[in-house]
Amino acid sequence: MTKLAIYGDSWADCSHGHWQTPKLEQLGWPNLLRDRGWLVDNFARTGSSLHYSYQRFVTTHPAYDRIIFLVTSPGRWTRSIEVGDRLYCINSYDSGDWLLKSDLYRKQLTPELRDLIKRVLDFYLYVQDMEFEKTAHDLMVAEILRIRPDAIVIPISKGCAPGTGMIEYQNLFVRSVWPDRPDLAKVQAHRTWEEIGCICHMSPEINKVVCESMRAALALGKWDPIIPDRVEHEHPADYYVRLF
Amino acid sequence: MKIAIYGDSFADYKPYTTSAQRSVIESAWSYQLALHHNVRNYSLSGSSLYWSMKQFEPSYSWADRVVFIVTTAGRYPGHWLDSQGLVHTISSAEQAHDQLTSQGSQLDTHSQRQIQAVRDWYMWARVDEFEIYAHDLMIARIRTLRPDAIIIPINPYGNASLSHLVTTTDYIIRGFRSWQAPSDTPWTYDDYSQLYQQYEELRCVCHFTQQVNQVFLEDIIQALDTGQWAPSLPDSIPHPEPRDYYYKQR
Repeated sequence: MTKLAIYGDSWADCSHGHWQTPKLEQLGWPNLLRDRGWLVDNFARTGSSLHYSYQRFVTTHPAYDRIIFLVTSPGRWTRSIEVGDRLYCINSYDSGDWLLKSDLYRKQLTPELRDLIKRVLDFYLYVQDMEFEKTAHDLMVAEILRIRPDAIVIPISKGCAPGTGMIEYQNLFVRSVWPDRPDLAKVQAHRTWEEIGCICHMSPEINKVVCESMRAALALGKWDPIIPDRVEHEHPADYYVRLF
Repeated sequence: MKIAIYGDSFADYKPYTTSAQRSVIESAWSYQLALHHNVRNYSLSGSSLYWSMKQFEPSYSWADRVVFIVTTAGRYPGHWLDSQGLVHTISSAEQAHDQLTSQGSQLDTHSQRQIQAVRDWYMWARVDEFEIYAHDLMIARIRTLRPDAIIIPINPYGNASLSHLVTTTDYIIRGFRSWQAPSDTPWTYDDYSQLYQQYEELRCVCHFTQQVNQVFLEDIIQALDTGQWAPSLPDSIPHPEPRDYYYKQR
């Protein structure tokens, strides 16, 4: 069996958001690849930075025949913090701000953790130099391809790396379940809807399409997917997402 | 010869112009080099490697030779501007604290908040592993663009590709050794932080005394000639005056 390593963020982490519905995990595209005969080790972690994935890639890639590397957005703070029994990535100002205000974590945030989160928020507001972050990001992407020219490198969205972004599959989802709402393809999904029946930010039906795109890329040795106009969905939109 | 110099305070003598004697300033290796060559000095005291790389990318092709002083990993890549438009770097939490203490009342609220946030970042939020990775990759990029660049680290930490190179700090140590008794155990690189805490520069420029600047300059000239940074450091660099002439106790 061919050994495949997957690196990335929530777009490849099937456990994203499924603490209460773990059965959805099986429907994520990395697990579908496993069902298709690949021996998959999935190093993806929701909310993580490129540096997080890069570190794991550098130390683990020699053990794998093939590599799929999803490149997240530049500028994510590269550490995670322990909140209760969970590791949490503060990957943007909004995510740190949400954590501070969240009822879910209120009791678990010690004064020390609150102080640290406030400092990370200040980092995003006052310290972060996006030009530096983008430079470091691009150098890491180039290094990944230098080390493994055969890696299938896929951006999450524009600016992460060259090529078709995973965001195009989310747009496919929007076109498919809301054919009369093209405006929703242009919004920030996390501000517009809550995922309830999605895996890796996509419906199970779209995950199947992604799985086929990944298989084609692995066969061709390059990422150049053909994304359909529409995919038939078994359920209406509100089965998968809840609009805010 | 057209020479471009990049780096931090080890190459930038400008900050010393307000405090040091003219003869001390003119002993700076980068100043001396410019007397004999067409030198463009892009260094900035307290700056990050990223800042130097940003100067390097649009300008390196002008130069016949490049001298690149590689500063320590993990410096704040940005800067802030004072009311007169002067650029200020923040190279450490201590420096941020000093800037707040010495200039706090003259700064607007945003600048104060920015400097405080940088201080907190150094102390709490900086991720050293990421900084070292980014540092490594930037050095590799510099080497790709100018394989002939004379690369000189200020310290050997963090970057495996630099660990075999003689550092600028090695020269400071050789200078301090000249005031040791023959029976003393010679200072080594590991003693530098102790020496730094104990002594403040008095008659130095680019962190070197006049004598150390001269030795460093000769080694730079040799490196420009051979294309290799592989100086043979003396055990110590002699000084005609006692240590207190060059440094004062903190």
